[in-house]
Amino acid sequence: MRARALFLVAPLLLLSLPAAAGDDNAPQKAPAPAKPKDPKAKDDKKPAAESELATEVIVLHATNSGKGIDSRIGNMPELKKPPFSSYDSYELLSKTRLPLSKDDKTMNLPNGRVLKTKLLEVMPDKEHLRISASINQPRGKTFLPLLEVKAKVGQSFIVAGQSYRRGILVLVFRVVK
Amino acid sequence: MTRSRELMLLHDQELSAEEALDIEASLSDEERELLAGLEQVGDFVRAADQEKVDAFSGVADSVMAAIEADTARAAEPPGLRMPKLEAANDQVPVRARRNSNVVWVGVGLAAAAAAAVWISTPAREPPAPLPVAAPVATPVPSATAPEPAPELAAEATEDDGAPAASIEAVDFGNQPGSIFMVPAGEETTPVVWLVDEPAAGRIEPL
Repeated sequence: MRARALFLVAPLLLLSLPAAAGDDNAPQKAPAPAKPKDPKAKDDKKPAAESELATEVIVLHATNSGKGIDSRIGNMPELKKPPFSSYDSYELLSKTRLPLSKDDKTMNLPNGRVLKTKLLEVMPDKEHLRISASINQPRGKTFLPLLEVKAKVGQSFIVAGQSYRRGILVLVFRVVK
Repeated sequence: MTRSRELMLLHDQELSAEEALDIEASLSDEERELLAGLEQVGDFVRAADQEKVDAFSGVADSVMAAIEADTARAAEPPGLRMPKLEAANDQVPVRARRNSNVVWVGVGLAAAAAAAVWISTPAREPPAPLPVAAPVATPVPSATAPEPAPELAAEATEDDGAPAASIEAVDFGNQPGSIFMVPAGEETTPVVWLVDEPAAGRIEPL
């Protein structure tokens, strides 16, 4: 009887050995995910050109009114590509130059929301920079809480989709000097 | 008492002398022949079974001899008994040795099973770092915008030819949105498409 008991217990004991040994190598806590770059990282080296940098915000109204693309918009091939091509009319509503600085710069959008931009960082090559943008609702609600973009001078990015007068708003951001 | 029973008792000599004389005096010729036949059958049975009787008596004798031998051993002094006990132990541990063998076989099997489990357990790999940025894969958004991904980062690698502005982080808040790239000449332009309420930003069928 004792022999039978040993026969049953011994495998359990031996099987527990690897687990016990594994405790030493127990799955360690996953390292904390790499923190994204601090959007509020300060650029100690304040480039002289910073004051010259600006974000040009072009506000377009996309509709299917059959008016075509406003000639003031200029050459913007994106508007002829999907999904922008689903609208046949683009009207230039405004073109605003927001100086880039580490202080928030705001502008009112036609739909009553407020666009806020901010310079986060000028990259060492002095050509690229990181900027942030957000869109707030009129009553304090945040519509687009955060958008961080890395762009080179002359490059643009688009924020589109806000409904406005049977169409949508298309915000074209371009970093300019 | 029936007549046949009296004859059987007479044959087995289990009657008193007086009763036996009375019955013998009253025997008919037929009954005398019956008694003679019983005597013959008894002789035959006793002759045929003699060997078994002898063998049975031989077993009984051997058992008695063994008992006597044990009794004699118990009467011997301890010093003289030791070798015999050791000899007896040579008999007893056979079962113990068998049990011990079973235990060791079990231990061996368990060790083999543990080794198999140990080997088959995949080595723990170092945790992979979480991706910080996901490249934008498709330039065309779906009609139904995907779930908003807070802090979703989309970055176009600069090895893809013409470097473009890249979306590093975006938080769509409570409404859905998507990120995609739209070709613009030699470059591509990142687009953040928001789905607005109540007239959601509609994307017509392409």
